[in-house]
Amino acid sequence: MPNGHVTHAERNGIHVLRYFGKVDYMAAPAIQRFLDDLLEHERVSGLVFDLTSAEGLDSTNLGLLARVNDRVHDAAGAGSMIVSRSEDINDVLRSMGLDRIFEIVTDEPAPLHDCCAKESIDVDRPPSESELRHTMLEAHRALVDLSDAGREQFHDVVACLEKSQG
Amino acid sequence: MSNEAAVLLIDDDEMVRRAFRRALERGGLAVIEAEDGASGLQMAREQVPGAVMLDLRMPGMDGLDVLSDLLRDDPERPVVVVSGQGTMTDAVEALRRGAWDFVSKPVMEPSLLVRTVRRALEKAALLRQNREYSESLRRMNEQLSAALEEVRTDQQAARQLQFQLLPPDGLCMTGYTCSRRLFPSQLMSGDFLDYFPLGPDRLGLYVADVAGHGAASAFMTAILSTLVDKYRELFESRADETILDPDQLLTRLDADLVPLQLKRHVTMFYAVLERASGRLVYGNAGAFPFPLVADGNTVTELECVGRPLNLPCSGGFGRGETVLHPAGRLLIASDGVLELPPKQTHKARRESLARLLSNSWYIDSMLAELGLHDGTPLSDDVAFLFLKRESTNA
Repeated sequence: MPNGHVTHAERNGIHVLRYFGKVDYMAAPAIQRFLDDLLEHERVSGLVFDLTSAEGLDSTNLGLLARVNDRVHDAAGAGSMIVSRSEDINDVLRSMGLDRIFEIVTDEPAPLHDCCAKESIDVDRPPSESELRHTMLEAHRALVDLSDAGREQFHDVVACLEKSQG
Repeated sequence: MSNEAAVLLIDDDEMVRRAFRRALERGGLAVIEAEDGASGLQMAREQVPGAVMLDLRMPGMDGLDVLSDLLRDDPERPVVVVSGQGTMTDAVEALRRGAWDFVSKPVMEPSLLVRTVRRALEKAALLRQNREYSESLRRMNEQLSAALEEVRTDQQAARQLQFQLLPPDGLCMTGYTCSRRLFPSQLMSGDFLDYFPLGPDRLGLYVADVAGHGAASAFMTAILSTLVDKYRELFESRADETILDPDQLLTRLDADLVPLQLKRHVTMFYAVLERASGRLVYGNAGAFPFPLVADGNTVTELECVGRPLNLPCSGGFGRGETVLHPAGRLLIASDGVLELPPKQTHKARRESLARLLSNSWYIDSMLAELGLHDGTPLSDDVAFLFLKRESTNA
């Protein structure tokens, strides 16, 4: 993959996809197949798209996110979120109204008790949803921490595909 | 080359031939014999051995001449020359003429003989394989080039068709001039734009960007423009006024696109301009960067977020209105403009576009400033729609 690549890791049904570099339409079919496979065969309670290491996402991949989000929400109790600190990417997400369908987390994932404190004020959100949000943030942080500590849990999405297809 | 390949021995000395035959046959090689150059050449032509062992010193035809003839017949067949002691100059000359290897008589170690012939056979097999690979590669390359050329011609024709769907550049519509530029990153573009009169009092205009690039996206731009044309016709036949209302038009387009199940979303900015007042009513389905309006040297960004067409999203389309004053300009650029070199943040690029528009009255001067011309290598399609209101039209 010449431009960007995507890796995947899972913890307690929360699936995290990390985007690296410039992920363009060439990568989209592989990501799509991977997610199709995931949604069909795995338990998916939540999907976290971590775009913090992405340089850019083209329109094809943005569309892919929105379509997958739609399918995840169809599955009972599942949710999806985007972790992104790039102003460029967030501007595009907002311009398309994707911030209305995704929870977009722009700050560093906060420690769990902070989330709780914040959530307890947020009365509009049903408890199950905020619990899920905690679980997703926590799973994301744990997996990224492990990865930063060199105990890699993430696997390249394309390589996973090749393996599963034997 | 398999082990069964026959080795042709050309030697006038029967003792030598017998010794060689024994050694080679023990090494698993089949052997045929000739006792002089002329009959050896003939046998080589008739029986096509895999390799030849050739004595250089024979009565009759000279060994070096036989060598030349053998190699002329088949340059890929290995010839190992056999020279007596003290005839090294002959061996050197033979190698110069193309012999593959040489052994000198007497051969004390029969396995050396087998190894030499084997090595020559293997090398010949490798060379032949190599040539066959190269040839099949060359053939495939030719086929690919031909196929590619066909696709290119095809795409070129499609590109011409797509450009024919574009409105005339520099179109004057009482008091307003519309210009457009389209720079596809491939032959065909996923970006598209159009402008047209809507009755005597209004103009309609849009810039759309279908996700992805190339033929499939271009195909969808054609569907899009056909749908918009249909709404125009409905308006002209006084059947339906959808085309006058940007929000309704985007909603209608979305409803017409979704059942086609094309799995590509479209961002689109659509506006209706009232000619007399310059009032511009617009709707935005996720198009970004936001269009820019210049009044004199003051530039405003028409910030309006909204969901794209043909994408499962909640929320509505962006909407708003503004006024295009006399000498005012409207610039709509597709998101490809954000990817133009030099690399800038989107924010910086939007600001520099606004600065550029603040003192530009012509599209080409802006494109020159952006360093954009036909043939600029692009990572994404870029489209520009530039609308100018005449200063006399108050």
